[in-house]
Amino acid sequence: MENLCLEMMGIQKAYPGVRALKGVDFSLKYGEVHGLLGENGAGKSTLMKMLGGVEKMDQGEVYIGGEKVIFYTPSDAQKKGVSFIHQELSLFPDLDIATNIFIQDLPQKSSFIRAEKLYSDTKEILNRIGLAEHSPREKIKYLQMGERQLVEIARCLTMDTKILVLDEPTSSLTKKEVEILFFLIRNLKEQGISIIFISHRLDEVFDICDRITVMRDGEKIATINTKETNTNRLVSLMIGRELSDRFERTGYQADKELLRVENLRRGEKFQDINFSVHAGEIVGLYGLMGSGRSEIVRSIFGLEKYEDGKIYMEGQEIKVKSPIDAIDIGIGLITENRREEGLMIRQSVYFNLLAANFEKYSKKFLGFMDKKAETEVCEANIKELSIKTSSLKKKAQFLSGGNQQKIVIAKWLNRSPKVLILDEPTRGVDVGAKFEIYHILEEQTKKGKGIFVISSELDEIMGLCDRILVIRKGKIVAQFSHEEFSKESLLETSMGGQEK
Amino acid sequence: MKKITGKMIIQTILNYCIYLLLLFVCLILSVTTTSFLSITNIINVLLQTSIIAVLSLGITFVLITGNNDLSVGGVMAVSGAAGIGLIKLGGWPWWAGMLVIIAVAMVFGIINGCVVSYIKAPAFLTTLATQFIGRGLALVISGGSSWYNLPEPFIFLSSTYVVGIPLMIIIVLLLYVVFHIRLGKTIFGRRVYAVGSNADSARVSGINVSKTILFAYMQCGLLVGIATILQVSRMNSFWAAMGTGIESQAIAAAIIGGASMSGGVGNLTGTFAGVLLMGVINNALNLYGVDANWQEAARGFVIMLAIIIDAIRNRYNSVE
Repeated sequence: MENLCLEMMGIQKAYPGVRALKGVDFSLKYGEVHGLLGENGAGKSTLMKMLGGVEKMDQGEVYIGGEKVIFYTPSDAQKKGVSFIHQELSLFPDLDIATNIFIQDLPQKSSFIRAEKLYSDTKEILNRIGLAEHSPREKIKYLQMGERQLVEIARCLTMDTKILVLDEPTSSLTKKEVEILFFLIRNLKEQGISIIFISHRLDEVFDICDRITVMRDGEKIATINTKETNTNRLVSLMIGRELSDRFERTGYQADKELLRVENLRRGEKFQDINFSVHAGEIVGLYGLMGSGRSEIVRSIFGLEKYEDGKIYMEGQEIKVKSPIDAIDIGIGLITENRREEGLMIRQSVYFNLLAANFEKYSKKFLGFMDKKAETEVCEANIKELSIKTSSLKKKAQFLSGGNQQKIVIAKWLNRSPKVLILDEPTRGVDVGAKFEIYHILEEQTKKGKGIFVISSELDEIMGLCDRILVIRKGKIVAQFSHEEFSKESLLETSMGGQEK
Repeated sequence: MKKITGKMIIQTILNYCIYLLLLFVCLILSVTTTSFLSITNIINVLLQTSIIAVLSLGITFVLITGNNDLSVGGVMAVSGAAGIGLIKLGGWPWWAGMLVIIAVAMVFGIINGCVVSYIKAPAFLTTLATQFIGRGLALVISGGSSWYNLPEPFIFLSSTYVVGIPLMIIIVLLLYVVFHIRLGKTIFGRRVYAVGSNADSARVSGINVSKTILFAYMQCGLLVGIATILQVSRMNSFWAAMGTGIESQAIAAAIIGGASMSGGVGNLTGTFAGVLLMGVINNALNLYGVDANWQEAARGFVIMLAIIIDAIRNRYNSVE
């Protein structure tokens, strides 16, 4: 048996109602870069949580360097040389580079910081990670995103790291920064550090990884040498699943054009965005996180700015400066973060159902609210969308994710927009409520509304949409009609194959 | 039928804590003292709290939007200095003086509102700055001196009784009724709650967040102006130090009454009860003959108690 740096055997983990890991084996060689691939919910992050001691596994064994280890806390894992770099960085922007790198173990003498040692040690590390041109005294907030990531890696280096886990490290980096990161990864590899690389971008996985493990539905599907595989093979391993329990939209009658976007552009985030939404149609936008998909709809809705381009509603050009403008011309937006931007969670169901609509239910005279009309609408909402709540007065925070999302949808339907835009409409929503939401949306198309859905769930976007646009790195790279799209084509176009 | 659990009882008690506390203190006072329940004493308590009551009213709206207003004391001084100064030194008619008081106070409200909502400066610091500006300008205008013997209409305000109740108390109660309706039943009230509950969500829902905050501050300014007129009437004089430290009492009363520093909650019955509680406790200390220096400390204890209750209540209410 060859020497393994890390061996995980038969890892099992169940959460209420879902078996997240069903006995997963995973191994890592010394000085190897190992890619971990899988759709959202495949169990990648859960597996890494077990490795990092963030959560306890139900069953299974972990060996590091041949020695059996049990982690109860993240610091246990750290002591054994396991370091994590998360998508959201954990640096202190107002402190300097040196302090950030050594924050967990500042060199000190009777509780005074030994500054000269701190800064000379940092200088050395900065040379190692290719940031030699920066002073150790520079504050983190003046660094680029990619450089910050390197600083984070440097922090791991000071902790005698043997295994480094990178969770989607490139999602917020520019091409140039990715190159530096990869250069550093290869460097670390030569120093004998083993790296687990989680990414959705296939081209990068092919670029940097020695071996690739594919996970699906809480199981390990295969571990392959990168040299012996190709994009097609990986994609088919990742999906594999039967399409049995999928929502399938029936009937589709596109009518007149409602919303049209022409050449919308904002710097690096998105360029040349062209699409239209017709009455009675559900259009999907598929792309990875960080591909610019949310930024596009937020710009159309006036929450963020766009630099260039035109937006039309029913053939009429419109200027959107704030959400108020967008709402006035008949656009509704359900953002991806329900708790932050969708609901007022400490307010009642009643209050939330009406929150986009105070004008409609207030009388002209002195702005008194028409309580009777309000109550009628809310009761109708509860019935039509089957929102499960014990009373209208219940605070929104005590409802389940699915019911909360229905409230947000109802809030917009009460406003009767012409075009409803939904960003990840079923995130954190259970399966039952998901299907109810699909039916609600389909119902709306029959009433002549246009619907635009962003989703990273393939089943969802394929079952729901009449047309799908695929976005990658800020550009719409493909468009598929209902007859044309397949999981393979969507995944491949959104991730960008290895050939390039 | 829902089962009544122990937790529900605790939650209910916590939610009505302020009223229970007020009732409790009144009960103790009426048993232990002979003078508390007399009409004169009750009217006296109401009169003493009337200025703070009006200020708390304006501040409650600001607090519900998730902001704060520390400037009210300073604004009282500067608006009073401008209005009464013009009457006393400039020979302006009484009504013009009153209008100037209201106008100056509203201008300060608008400045607070604009800086906080459009420039997005922290409310705490912004209104601290306008407090100093107001206080300083009051000294500049008045030269630090006081003015006595105001025109007849000011005295009318403080000396008139309607069926045995002072006109001032009636004005305060009327203001509470009007603004209670405004907060609870109008679209402006809804927007105030929406902005304070979650400004991002309010923005996505098409509510003009900045304008709502500006209006809340402007309205607070209007009420500060009214409070200033009531204050100079009651004392029949203007003095540059008027309203010193009054903002802390007004904010405390609103917080005791259930408004939260983090916004989104609060109502005017609560605020009114908070004002009364502070007034009654002051009254109690007087009735028991407690030294004036101790009264300040006692007020601090009451505020601390209220804030602790508020924190516990928030924790309880965040679980179902």
